[in-house]
Amino acid sequence: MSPAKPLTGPRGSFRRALSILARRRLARFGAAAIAVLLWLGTFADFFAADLPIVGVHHGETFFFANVTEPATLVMETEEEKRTSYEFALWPPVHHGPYVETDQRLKPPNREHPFGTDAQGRDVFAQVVHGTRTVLGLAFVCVALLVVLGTLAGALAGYFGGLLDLIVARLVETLTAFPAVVLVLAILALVARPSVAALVIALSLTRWTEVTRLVRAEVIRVSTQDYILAARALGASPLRILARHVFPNARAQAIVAGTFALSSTILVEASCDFLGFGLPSSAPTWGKVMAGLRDDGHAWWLFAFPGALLFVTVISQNLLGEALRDALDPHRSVAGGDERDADDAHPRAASENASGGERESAIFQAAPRV
Amino acid sequence: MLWAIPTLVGISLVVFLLTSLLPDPALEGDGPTTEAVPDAPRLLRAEDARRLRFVDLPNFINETPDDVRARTQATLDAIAAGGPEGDLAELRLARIGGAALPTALPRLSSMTTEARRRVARALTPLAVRMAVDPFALGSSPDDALKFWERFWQDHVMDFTPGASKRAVERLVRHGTELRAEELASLDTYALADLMEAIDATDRHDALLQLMKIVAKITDLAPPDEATTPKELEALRAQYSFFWYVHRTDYVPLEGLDRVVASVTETRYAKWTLGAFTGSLEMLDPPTKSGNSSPKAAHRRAEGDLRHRLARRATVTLALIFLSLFGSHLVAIPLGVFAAARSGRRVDRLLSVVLFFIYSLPTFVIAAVFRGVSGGTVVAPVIALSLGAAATLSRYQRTALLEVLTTDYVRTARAKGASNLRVLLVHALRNAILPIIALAGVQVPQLLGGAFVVEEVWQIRGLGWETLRAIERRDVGWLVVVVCLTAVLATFALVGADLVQAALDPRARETFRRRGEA
Repeated sequence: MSPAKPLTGPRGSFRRALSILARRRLARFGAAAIAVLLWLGTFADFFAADLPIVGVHHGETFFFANVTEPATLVMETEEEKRTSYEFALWPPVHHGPYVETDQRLKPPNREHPFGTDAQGRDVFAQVVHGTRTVLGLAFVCVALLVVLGTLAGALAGYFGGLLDLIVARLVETLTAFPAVVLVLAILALVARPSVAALVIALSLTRWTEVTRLVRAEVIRVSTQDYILAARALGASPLRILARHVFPNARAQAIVAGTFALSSTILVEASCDFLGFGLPSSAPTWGKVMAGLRDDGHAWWLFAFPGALLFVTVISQNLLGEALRDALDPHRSVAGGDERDADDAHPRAASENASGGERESAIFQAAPRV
Repeated sequence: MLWAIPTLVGISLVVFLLTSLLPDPALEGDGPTTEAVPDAPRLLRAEDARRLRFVDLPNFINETPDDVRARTQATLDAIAAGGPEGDLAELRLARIGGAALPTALPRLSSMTTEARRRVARALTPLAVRMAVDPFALGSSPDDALKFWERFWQDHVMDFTPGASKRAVERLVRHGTELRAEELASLDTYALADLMEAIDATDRHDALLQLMKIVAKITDLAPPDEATTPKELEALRAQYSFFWYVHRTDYVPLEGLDRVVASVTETRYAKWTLGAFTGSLEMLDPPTKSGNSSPKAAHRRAEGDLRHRLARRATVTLALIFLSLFGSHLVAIPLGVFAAARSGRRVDRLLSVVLFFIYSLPTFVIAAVFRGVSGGTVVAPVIALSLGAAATLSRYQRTALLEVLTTDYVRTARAKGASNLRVLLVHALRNAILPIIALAGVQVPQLLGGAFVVEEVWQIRGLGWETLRAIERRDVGWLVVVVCLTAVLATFALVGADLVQAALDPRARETFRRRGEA
């Protein structure tokens, strides 16, 4: 074990949290895996595309032809595609996620490293481009639900009364409600399924976690003397919320957001697998995996996107659990120790064992999907 | 326990708002319209489709609930105005039938000649239903008008609530053809009493006769002699759904009725009442023109919501509770074992494995299991329990470790209790309580998992049926399943609280304090 660097920054601050995170091997692994996935998704066209990254075609040079999609490069046959360039820098896999070929349901080979699906589309291309879809969708949803959840939690916690009652009941019910069922029901009931509808449905099912944590924190902070002092100085409720209360709850929102990321991805993948997910042609992991339902022997349809999904969820859960520990100023951090994944729960369990606050203890981690 | 009620109301509101996102059936239509002005029958069909989904009603408060008088008035005005709207109004008037006469006939004298002729034309189907002598009706609209004037003079005393009620009662008691004819001249004016009698009577022959009369004066499919009691029962459910939708077409609203109707004659009230009584299933009741035989009606009723729900829910609940039981059976010993070996190599290995399983989504586990084991009976249960077992054993381990640090455990050790005894007798008693509370949360999560598992193994449970319902956009089913899920989730949480209170005096204390606060 390398000698532990000293912790920097005041307790509970982000710098402190980051330096705590950097000490934990599992958190480092999680962060690295997410970075790789983001990189993979962002530069998907460098890994799999049906047009070259740089190509010279009849004396004309094209850069990123796959993105700019010049009409002159539309080719009829595979053969033509390969021979018509004077110079071409191809991505490792020469296939885009949408191109259908007659190579149907081929197991992994040199041409298609992850095999092909029932329509003859390259699985590697779909998985790589699917990373972009999946992560993009999840980040949009999480951005939406963190804002929504934080607002609801902060307002309910600070103002209390009827608003708090309504929010608390809603959170309680929605938390207990199976997410897949709700998303499927919403998608089935809207007039025309759209990506926006899916984003809203996913956000609606997952904002409760943020609200619950933020609300609890706001309620805890609101009774403290410095809030009373701020009120005595004549600060408006909104100012108190924004300047004095919310910074305390920020950590909770971030932790819940990290867990929401993985659970959003899981719910979306589950819906895709059931055949009622993203209503667009964009490739996702779940859609590729759904191919297994028709062709049970085609393990490659399931294994590769499944592995990626698994890595994504594991690393986000690891990062989330580490973040929760690191951002909690009340938790003592024994210098440089490497905890195993399970040690993240003692506080949750202790609250649990005391019998009272059941709900706060139970949903400490992302709910399973 | 009581807080479940506002939650359920909240859920029903949310679901209702979701249903309001549904496309308006009138806009969907039945295929592209070729002619510029849609003809009257098509318009009437579109209107029926809207009414079946209660799209024509206001959302929460109906300040002016329409009754038979208002509707008849509206049709007469539209007929007087003429044009394509007038054609539609004629069809509407014919459908309202006898119930419209007390409003329509006295007003005839104040209408223009042209409008009176059109009203007479619209009433022709009614005359046919009443089996009026064609000779008495005459051949020209003016003859028909004279007939209706005479008819009203002769029968004005029959068209009173008391008279129609007595007529229906006599029919139920004596059941002769003569009584049936007596009712025929009242047409739909007697519909409210007929429906009431259909609801109240249990005699097969009386039911058959009553329903035949109702079928004659409305668009509903009639039963025939071969109809079995079971089929008749199904048909009766469909009749009462028709009445649920169309009651205000035939009944005047007065006094208290009108006040009640301003709440009940709304989309929200119709939806929720319909969803909870299970009648929303019949969003498309059989009519003479469409799917009409009693056999088909029976088949539909076999697929009737309550039947299907009961059949599918049994499968799913069995799956869930088997998994719940199985996962506890595995998780508790596993958690205890891990806690006993805490910090050692085997515990760390177990932690990693459990964390991995915990992070695997149910559909991945299910698909892998399906590939490995094929269609055995236990495979779905195992696939469903695996994730829950991982969650539970992680919690069991931490809960037990927490209890092991308490003073009373140290006391027990000091008194010479063996390690095993401390673990199983002293510590586990307390550490198992939070795990039981967790069962309440597991139930809805398992329900979500069951959706996936049922689809992977093609088990005909709630999840499988719901996915099929999504495919055919069966709103009734979806609404009921969402409500049922909410109810199940709520009761699971409440149930877990109660079990915990029963087992743990400290929790009882907390609940009591919370109740007082």
